[in-house]
Amino acid sequence: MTSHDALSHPPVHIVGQLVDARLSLLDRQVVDVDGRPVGVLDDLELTDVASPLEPGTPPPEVTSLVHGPIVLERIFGGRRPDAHLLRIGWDAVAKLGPAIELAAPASELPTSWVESWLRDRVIVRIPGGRHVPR
Amino acid sequence: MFLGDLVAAPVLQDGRRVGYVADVRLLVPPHTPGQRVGTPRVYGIVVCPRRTASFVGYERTGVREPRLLAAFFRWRARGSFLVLWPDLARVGENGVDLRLDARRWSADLDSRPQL
Repeated sequence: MTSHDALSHPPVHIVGQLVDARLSLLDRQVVDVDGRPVGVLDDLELTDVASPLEPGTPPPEVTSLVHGPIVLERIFGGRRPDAHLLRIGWDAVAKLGPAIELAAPASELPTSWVESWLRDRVIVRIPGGRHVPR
Repeated sequence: MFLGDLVAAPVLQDGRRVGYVADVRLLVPPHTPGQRVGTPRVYGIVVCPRRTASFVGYERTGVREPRLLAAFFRWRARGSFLVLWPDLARVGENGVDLRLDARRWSADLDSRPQL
């Protein structure tokens, strides 16, 4: 028996689009306004909710796209420090589709902790590393 | 809270495990002021009775080809159902509790607008 056979759709009038996060969003490519890849959507951050949930509690909303090296956590569990995760606010999303398109160029997006660490600890010590290459 | 924390979490009702979170269904409103894409909010959770929850969604979409794979994945996800957000009693690190009178709905996305 499948869900098709026995159960009906909820009698709720939908205004908008229903999206299954794992099916249609997670692990999709994220591209900037010029179509350049900026990463893969590893997770979505939601607003916190109280527990237990009182009747009438509004559902959590998506606040940001999360990108980070989380493969090891998926296998072994645990969680990386918050600073290691790259968050892009949902307000930067321009279109949902086969890829998630952003409304901003990659240069205006936050940089990953690896990139920031390399810039601040390594690149800056290299002669000429403190300014934009000409 | 991260959405990924919910995926594959056990789902309990009246202290009894009824399945695992196969997916989180979001409702993307047509418009949120100041944004190009409305801010999604949680609409419900798709629950699969087994840990072998489908990640390809054959049981939720109208995809029927290739037939052998479609039949296999639909069989593997048999018994999946949707529970709406108001029917959730607790969402936590240890899983999701359903209210005692939680309704089970079809997890099918067929007749719904989708990406």
